[in-house]
Formats: sequence, structure tokens, C-alpha cells
Amino acid sequence: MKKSKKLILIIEDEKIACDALQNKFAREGFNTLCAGNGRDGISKAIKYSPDLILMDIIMPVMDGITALKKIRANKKISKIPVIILTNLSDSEKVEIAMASGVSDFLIKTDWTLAALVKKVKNKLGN
Amino acid sequence: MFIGIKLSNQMKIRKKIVSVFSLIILISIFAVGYFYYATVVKIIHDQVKNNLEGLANSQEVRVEESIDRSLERFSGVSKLTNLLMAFRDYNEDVNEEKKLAIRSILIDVRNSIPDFINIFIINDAGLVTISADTALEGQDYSRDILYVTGMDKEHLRGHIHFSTAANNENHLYTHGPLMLDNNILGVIVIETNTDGFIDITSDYAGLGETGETDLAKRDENGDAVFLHKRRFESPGISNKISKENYDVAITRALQKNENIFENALDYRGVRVMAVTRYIASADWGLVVKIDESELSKPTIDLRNKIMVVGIISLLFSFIVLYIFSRLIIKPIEVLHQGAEYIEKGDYNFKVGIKTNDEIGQLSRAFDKMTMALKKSRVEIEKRVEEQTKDIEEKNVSLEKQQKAILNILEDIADEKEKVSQEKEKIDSILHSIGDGVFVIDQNYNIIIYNQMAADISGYSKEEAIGKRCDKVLKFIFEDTKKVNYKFIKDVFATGEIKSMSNHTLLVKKGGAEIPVADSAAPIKDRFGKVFGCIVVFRDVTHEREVDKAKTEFVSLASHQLRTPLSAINWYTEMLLSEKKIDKKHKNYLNQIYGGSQRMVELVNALLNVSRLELGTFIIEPKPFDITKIADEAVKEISQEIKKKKIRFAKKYDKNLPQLPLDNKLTHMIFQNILSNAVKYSQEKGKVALDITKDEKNIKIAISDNGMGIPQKQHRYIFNKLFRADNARAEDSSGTGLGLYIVKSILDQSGGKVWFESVQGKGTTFYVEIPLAGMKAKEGLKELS
Repeated sequence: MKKSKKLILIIEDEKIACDALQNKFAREGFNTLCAGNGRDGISKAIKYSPDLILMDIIMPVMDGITALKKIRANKKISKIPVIILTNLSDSEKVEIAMASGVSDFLIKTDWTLAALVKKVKNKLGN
Repeated sequence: MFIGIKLSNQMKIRKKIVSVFSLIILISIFAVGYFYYATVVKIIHDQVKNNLEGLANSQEVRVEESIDRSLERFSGVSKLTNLLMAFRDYNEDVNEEKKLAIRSILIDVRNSIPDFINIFIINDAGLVTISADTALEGQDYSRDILYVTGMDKEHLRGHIHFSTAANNENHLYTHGPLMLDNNILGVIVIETNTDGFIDITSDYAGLGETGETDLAKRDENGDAVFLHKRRFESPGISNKISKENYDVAITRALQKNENIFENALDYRGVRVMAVTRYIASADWGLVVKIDESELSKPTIDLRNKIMVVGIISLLFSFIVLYIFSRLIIKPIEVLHQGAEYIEKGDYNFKVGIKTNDEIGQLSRAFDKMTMALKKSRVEIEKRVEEQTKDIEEKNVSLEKQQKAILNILEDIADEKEKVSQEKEKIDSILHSIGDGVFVIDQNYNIIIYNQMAADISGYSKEEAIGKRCDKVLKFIFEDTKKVNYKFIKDVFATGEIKSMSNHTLLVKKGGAEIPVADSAAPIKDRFGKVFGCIVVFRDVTHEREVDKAKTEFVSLASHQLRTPLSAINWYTEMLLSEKKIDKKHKNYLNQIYGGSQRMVELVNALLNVSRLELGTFIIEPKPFDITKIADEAVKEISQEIKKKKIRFAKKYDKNLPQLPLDNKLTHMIFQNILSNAVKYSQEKGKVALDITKDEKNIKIAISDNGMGIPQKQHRYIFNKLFRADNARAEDSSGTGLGLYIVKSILDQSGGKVWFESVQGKGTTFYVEIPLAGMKAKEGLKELS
């Protein structure tokens, strides 16, 4: 991967969503990577050290909250900023996620791709 | 008993005086009497003794004189020379003539002998040779005492002797030897009667009734034989007193014990005072005696006399004493009576003793005191009367009060009955309530505890009643596991109903934790002071699970609905950003995007509605500036406003305070109403937002001059999914849920929402939030 390009790891079980995001971010000049579940996501994060993780919550094998906790527990990847991108608006989950050091909890349907890109850019820009 | 004591007290002085003096008198008289008696008795006794001795002496003298006379006479005879010679001659020559001659001499002699009975001569052979009484002649007197003792030269003077003669009388025999030329020729005996001595012995002069003189000889055995006829002779009484009988006086006399005996016996065995004398010349005993009883007679007489005198003097003294005591006592008694009268309250009594002695003085003083007492008593009585009147009045009112109280007490008793019945009812209600109920007092001790509480917590009634509630029912926070009793403490502190927090667990007996819910309410007395707390709780495990399931379902459902929507949105977005899309297709895509957007809005709204319906959403008020929330909402629809060229005016009051608001919910309120106002306004319409405050509330007014709401449909506006006809016609993009959500939020948070609207003219929505802010609400989820 080219170092000048930021890598975004997308942990998301829905291919459609992942594709859309990859498409958009790629056009915006990001490298992207997809993982289909939490476990896969963690191993990829360890392997590829992304600059940012976009993660869904409802996933098979390992859900987003568990994965998040594991990420935070893993020294290698704990510093990576995580944005939860989900359609689950369960406020409990929000609290848990926020407590685990998630920078944003975004509902997919509320955010256009453009807005998402802006958000990510802002996050990485800092 | 009291009266008895009183009387005896009265008598006490008299008794004392009387008894003391009586004792003195008695003792004195008795002492004097006895002394006198004793002295006199002694004197009498001595006198008697003396008398007796005197008598004895004189009797002795007489007897001796008589003996002497007899002996003299004898001597005269026995010494007659002619007789002597004649007898000598006769002895030499016994012949009748000589005998006759002697005999005639003897007969001559007898004339000079008083009491003459006989005279005879016993020759030296012991034969009675010559006797005046010729019968005696020739008798053998050789063994006779007359001959035996007469033949003694020592008896020349003669010896006197008596013995019992033939006729049982005592004859006196004066006998002795006839001596001529120192030869004893024979014995001459002069036999006389004892009259001479009997005269002596029967002389009772000075010997009273019982006294006598006893004369006795000693017989051959040594026993005493009496000469004379005694005073008290009787067939039973012997003439002889044995020499062993020492107690008999005559025995002592014969034993030469000459004395005065106060307690000797006489021949009768009777106690006598006896003077004993020994007549040596005849070897006789003499006793002058008198019966003790006779002696004591005068003393008895004396004693009786003294007694009589004594009694009389005693009586006399008692009378005097009595009079005297009365004299002294009477005034004291009067005083005493006076004291009694005064005690009883009669102050008119006057002792009135006029004597000049101390008693008189005392009496006067007493009377003075009585007067004074009377005076003060009168005064006191006056005062008492006044007081009594006062008290009586008070009494009457007290009685009335008493009656009133009694009535009240009756009523209370009735009420108590009712209350107790009610209590029973309540108890049975309490115990059949399907929730756990317990009541605690100010000290947090459980005083009521129903069956359900026992069932839920596992602690029986017995284990719970009386114990501190936090020892039995441990409510803990779900997250911290710390004890959650604040809600009960708050009830006591504030006197308001409190609910326990949503995430409260109860630790059952045995350690299991179950989720519980419900509330605590104060129990107040009629002054409004909280004196207890009633807590109702129930196991909400199931409810929670159900709720949890429902909300999860809703969450999940909305998630499932959103997933395809987000895909549609993004792909549409991507398509729209493609440069190569022509206008027509762009239009289609926009429509698709719009439709999908509406779906998203609907899903969001439905999610909120479901949370509102479940009641599981949270209101978390924090101090916020309401204007800032308003501005944010305004910002969000600024695009729409621009697009429709709406003239938007906002007016905020100055100095609007911060107040507790749930940010999200307040935002929703503004957002919904503002978007409605913009949505239902025509192009170039006017929308105004005013935020003001009054004493109680923040007032928000959002007005537009848009299409307004048809009158007929005003009442449905806040209903779920309702859209007015005109709105529906104009704009298909509304969900019909916004106002329902706004109203629910405000209903739950303590605010108000209402509107004014005229179709075709415009609408104004009003929202009121109390200055105290939104009410907090516990729940499971936030609205989103």
C-alpha cells in the first residue's frame, strides 16, 4: 500500500454497504479494506494497521462492540480511531461504544457518503 | 377505738392520781396496821407469858407451901414424943390397950389435920399395926412405896406422895419414919385427900378458858401421873403421860426442865404455852399452861379490830382521795373537754376555772386562746366560703367538660371499633395485594409486611417485622451493587412520593438478585409530619425481559429496515454524483432518493414512537440554554427555508434563564414544529419563532401563515400517523408522527403543547416548559 494514502478498514458484514463505502472512499483518495466480521476485522487491523476503522455493530461471528473492546485491548491496534457506522440506534450500545473510546457513533441512514467522507477527513486531518 | 382511747386518756390523770395515792394509802395503812398489830401482839404475848410465869410461880409457891404445911404437920405428928414412946412400948409389948392408946392419939391428931382421911403406922416389918381406920390394920405394906421409902432416915421430915386409893380417888400420903433415939420404929402415914392441891390446881384464875395448873408425880416407870382431876378430863384421855413423851410439858417439868414453852403439848396433845416447874420437895412436876388458841384469841381479836379500823380508814381515805382528785382533776378535765370542743369546732366553750392557782391561770389562757381561734376561724370560714363558691363554679364547668370528654371518649371508642374493623379490612387487603407491600416507621423498622413481600424477597413475616428494612429487603443499584435506599430517605425528607430507580435489584434471601420496581409514599399524620413510609414493589424480571425484548425488537426492526435504506441512499448518492447522468435520470434518482429519505424519516419516527409507547425512553434534563437548542434546530432547516424563500423571524426574550432540559428531546420538539411550519408554508411565507417567559414557564410560539389546519381535524392533529387532508394533498412527505412525538415528550416531561389554526390563514403552535425545567424520566432508551 502506498504510504501517502490513508488506509481505512471497513468492518461491515453487508457487502452492498462495504462496496459503496469502498467506492466512495477510493474515489476520495483513500485506500480501503473490508472485513466481514469482527474477528476478521481485528486480524486485518493487526496485519495492516489502518489509519481509521469504520465498524458496524450487527455482525456475525463477532459483533462490533466485542470487536471494539478487543481492539482497545490490543496494544498494537488500540490507538486506531474507530467510528461506529451502523443502523442500530440502541442507546445502550451507543453508551458502551462511547465508553470504549469510539469517536463517533453514526447512523448510516442519517449520513450521506459525502458527509461521511468529510467526517473521516476531519478525523484524520487532526 | 379512738373514742375508747379518748376516754381512757381523760381518765388517765385521775387514774394516775387515784392509783398512786391509793397505793400510798394502802401501803401506809397496811404498814401501820401491821406494825401496830405486830407490836401489840408481841406486847400481849409477852404479857401473857409474863402472866403465865407469874401464875406458874405463884402456883408453885402455893404447892410448895402446901407441901411444906403437910410436911410440917407431919413433922409435928411424927415427932410426937408420946406417940413415939407409946409406939415403942407397943412394939415391945404388943397389947391391945397400948394399941388403943396409940389409936386414940392418932385420932386426936386427925383433928389438926385438914382433909384428914386416915393415919396409920407401919411397923418396921411392914405391917400396918395401928390405923385410925382399923380396916387397914394388919395389912402388909412391906412392898408398898410408903413403907419402902418411909423407912429412910432422909425422909424424917416426911415425904409426900399420892396415889390412887380404893375409891379411885387420889389420896395424899405424907409419910416418914418414926424415929426415936435414932431408931426407926416404923413409918407413919398421914393420908389426906388432895383437896388442898386440888384447890390449887383448879384455880383457873388468870388462866382464861383453857388454862390450868397440872400437878403430876413420877411413877415407878418414870411416867407422869396426874394428881388432880384435870380441866379437860375425858374417858379418852389418859392419866398417865409416858416419860418418852417429851413434847408434853409435864414430862419436861418432871425432868426438871423449868422454862416457859410456847409450843409444848399438854396431856390432850393440844398446843399450849406452858410454864414448867419442878417441885423438888415432892418430886413432882408442875405445869401452868394455857392453850395457844386461847392466847391467840386476843391477837385475833386485835387483828380483826385493826382490820376493821384499817378498812374504815381506807374507805375514808378513798373518799377523801376521790374528792381530792376530783378537785384537781375536774379542772383538767374541763380543759381537756375544752380542747375536744375546740377540736370539734365549738369555739364557744369556756373552761372558766376561777381559782387563782396555776390551773386557774391555765384556764384563763386557754379561754383566751379559744377566743382568738374563734376569731380566726370565722375569718377563715369567710374566706373558705368565697373560695368554695369559686370552686363550685369551676366544678360545674369541669363537670360539663367531663361530660363532654366522656362523650368524646365514647365516640373515640366507637371510632376505635370502626378503625379496628377498617384495619382488619386493610390488613386483609394488604395481604392480598399482588405486589410486595411493607410499611416502615421513622426508624426504618418494618411494621407492616404483606405476604407478597415475603414471597418476592424470601424473608418471612416473622423475619421481617420489627427489623430495620435495610437488613431484610436489600435494594441495590444494578450497576454499582451499592445499596439503594435513597428513594425511601427522600420520602422521609421531602414528604413526597418517590420511585426507586429503574435499575434497582432486590437481593433475595439466599443471595439471588431480581429486578424490582415501584414506589415509596409517605405516611403523614394530620399535621403533615411524615411518620412512616409505605413501599410497594414488584418483581419486574418478566416485565423487564418483555420490555427488553420489545425494545430490542424495535431496535432490531428499525435496524433491519434501515439497512436496505442506507444502501439505497448511498448508491443513489453515488449515482447522482456521476457526471454522466442526464437530467431525466437525475430527476428519477432524486425521486428515488427522496422516497428513500422519507422512508428513513418514517423509520426514525416509528422507532421514537415505539419508544414513546413503551414508555421506556429517558428524559435526562441538564441545564441548557433553550435558545441554543432552538438555534440548532433552526440551522438544520435553514436550507429548506432558503429553498422556499421563507421569511424567518426569531425573537428571543432577554435574560431567558438556563433550565433543565433534555437536549435531544427539546431539539426534537423544535425540529418537528419548525419543520411543520416551514413545510406547510407557501413560498415566500412567513415563519416566526418566539421564546418568552412568564412567572411560571418558558413559552415558545412558532407561527406560520401557511395552509393552516381544517377546523374539523383539529382534534386529531396530535394523533399517531395523522395528517390533515390539506397537508396530505400538498405534501406527501410527512409521517404524521411528529406532533404525536412532540406531545408525548411534553406530556412526559411536564410541559404543554397546543395550537391555534385557521385553514388557509396559518397556524401557531405553543409550547410551554415550566421554569423548573423538564421532569426527569428514567427509562431504557433514549429517543433518537
